[in-house]
Amino acid sequence: MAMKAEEISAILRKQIKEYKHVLDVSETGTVLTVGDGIARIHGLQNAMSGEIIEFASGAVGMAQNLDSDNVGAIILGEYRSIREGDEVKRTGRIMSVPVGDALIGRVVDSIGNPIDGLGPIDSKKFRPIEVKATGVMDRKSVHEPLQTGLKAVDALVPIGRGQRELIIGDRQTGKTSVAVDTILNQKGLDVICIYVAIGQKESTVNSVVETLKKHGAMDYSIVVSASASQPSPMLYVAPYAGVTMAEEFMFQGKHVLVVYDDLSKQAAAYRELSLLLKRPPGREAYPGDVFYIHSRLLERAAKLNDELGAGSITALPFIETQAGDLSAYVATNVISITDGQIFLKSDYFHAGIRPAIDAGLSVSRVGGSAQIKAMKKVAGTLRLDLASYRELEAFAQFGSDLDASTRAKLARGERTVEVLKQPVNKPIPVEKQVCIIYALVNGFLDSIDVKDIQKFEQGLYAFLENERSGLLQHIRDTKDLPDTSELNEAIESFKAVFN
Amino acid sequence: MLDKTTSTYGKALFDLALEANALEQVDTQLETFSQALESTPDAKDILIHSQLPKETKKGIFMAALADMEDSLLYNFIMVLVDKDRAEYLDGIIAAFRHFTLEHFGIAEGTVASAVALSDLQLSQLAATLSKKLDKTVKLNPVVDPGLIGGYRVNIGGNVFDNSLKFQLDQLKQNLLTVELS
Repeated sequence: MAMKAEEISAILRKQIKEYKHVLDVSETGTVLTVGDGIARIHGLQNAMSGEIIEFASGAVGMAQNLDSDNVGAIILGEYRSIREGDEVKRTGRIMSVPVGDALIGRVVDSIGNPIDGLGPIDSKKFRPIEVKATGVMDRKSVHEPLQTGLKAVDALVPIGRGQRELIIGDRQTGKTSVAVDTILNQKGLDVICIYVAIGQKESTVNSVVETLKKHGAMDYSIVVSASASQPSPMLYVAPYAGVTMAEEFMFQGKHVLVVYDDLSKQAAAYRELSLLLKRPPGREAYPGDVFYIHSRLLERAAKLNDELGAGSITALPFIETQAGDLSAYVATNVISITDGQIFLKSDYFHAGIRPAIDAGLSVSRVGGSAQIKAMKKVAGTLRLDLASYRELEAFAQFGSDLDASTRAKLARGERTVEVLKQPVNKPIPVEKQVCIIYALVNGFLDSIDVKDIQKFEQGLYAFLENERSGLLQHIRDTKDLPDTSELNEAIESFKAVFN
Repeated sequence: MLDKTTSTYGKALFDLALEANALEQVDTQLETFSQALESTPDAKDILIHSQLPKETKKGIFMAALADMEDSLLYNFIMVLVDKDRAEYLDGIIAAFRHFTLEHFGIAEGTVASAVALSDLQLSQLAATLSKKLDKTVKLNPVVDPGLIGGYRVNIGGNVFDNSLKFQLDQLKQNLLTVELS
């Protein structure tokens, strides 16, 4: 930005001239102890829970424990410059983050400071990060689909706008890929995406940002990053900062997708600071309110009613399990809060079934109301097909003499698994998904070799696009299946070419 | 800082003194006693020594305080030794003072200024603050050249900042947030 010296001095003159002499009245205390992102402060008798306090060094903190003779506070940001005996001031404010359009395309930390080196964020509006979630009367039930672009998710565990769908699985099972693909698929659909990275490696966050940039997804995304190197209070507040930015858009009537990657690390950060604040530990050493930190966060995902503009926040929280253990404390908590879960299984992932979704353990409680009619029609039997295949699969390994119907079931199952595979960063529009699943459940693929299925799928998409674009257009516009004879004819004629 | 032990002992002593209508007397006695202790470190060491038998300690202090036998202070010191709480003496005195000041409606504070304030200025400031806080304000002046100019009053954690340093900090903040078009 080019600026003239006179311009600056004019501004300065104005500022100095109009400067008002004010007497500052504030309540102060002194730092008793400080360390590990936690400070104990004597004084501040009237401080309120969650209030922002200011240290003499300029650092800010948040009052957490209000004890009879001292205040326990978490320090946001740099705490090494704070000394014992420093003065601490009350501010009377609660923590807020910048919100609005200026944030789109940016990478920020938990308190809304830019960390992408693209200069300051020009946002005049702030919202407090802890607010009460939208009430019952302001909501509407989830009815529009949020297309993830993943066949396995859109067909088996459909997600609706305003839903909270947990993504759970061991490390290295492709959880982040599911979320990134979902973000990529929102291109051009007027959905703002917020990716909150909690306790992730800086390199991981960087690669996610690079992927989003490469596919042009940063144009409608915000990344909130509290990486592993940050002190635990920053990790703890990051998801609230993310959902606060989302709420601004939701109340403008827009649709928002928020990904929390991942909440187990947030719970661990909260455990750390709770233990340091000497709150009593409970199961797995988590404090008593570890359920509440997640429930109040996820309650803020909502679908607003028409009077409030019909905006929505869809939440995709992540939980990392240890060796597939779904009954760990935080995992069961979040499972019970959300409207369903997508379980990623590491055995499937290593067997090359990617996304490694375990259809048996994955559910979506919003279900069919979040699917377009066409998908509802074709995907109805898919889950049953898969379940019976998984059952037979184990059994079939023993005997070679199988009757015809069992063999047919096995063949169908193998093809189903093959069709649901999908490479990363290649979301597929729902109309194409409908066509390939239609072909699958109606037996068109039974005569195709399993190893040729993916080639067939790609070919079919190209064929439909070039030769029968009317069919795709029909699904897109009416959300319903076209005339089945036309669709059958199209698939048959492609099959003839393919063979 | 008032913790449980010091405030319990301080309150008990305060209540007794209030009953006997001897708050001021006890207050001065306590002050004299603690000053005496400060000026003779040996005496303090004996009082808080963990290895000395209680009887020895009591003997020494009985002799020292012989002329005020059966007074509140005398009994208080004996109780402290008996209960092994002598090390909390300073805190207890602070707690006692806290309750006494509260009782008389006095607020003690410090006023820091860049240059020493005159007695007139001090009394004017104290009078204004007394009216504002509805308490008798006692100010303890300190000189802090870091304030550059003006003064800064701290009464029990409530700070009234009218220093040049604060004004300059404010100006700096304002200049940093100027909108540049």
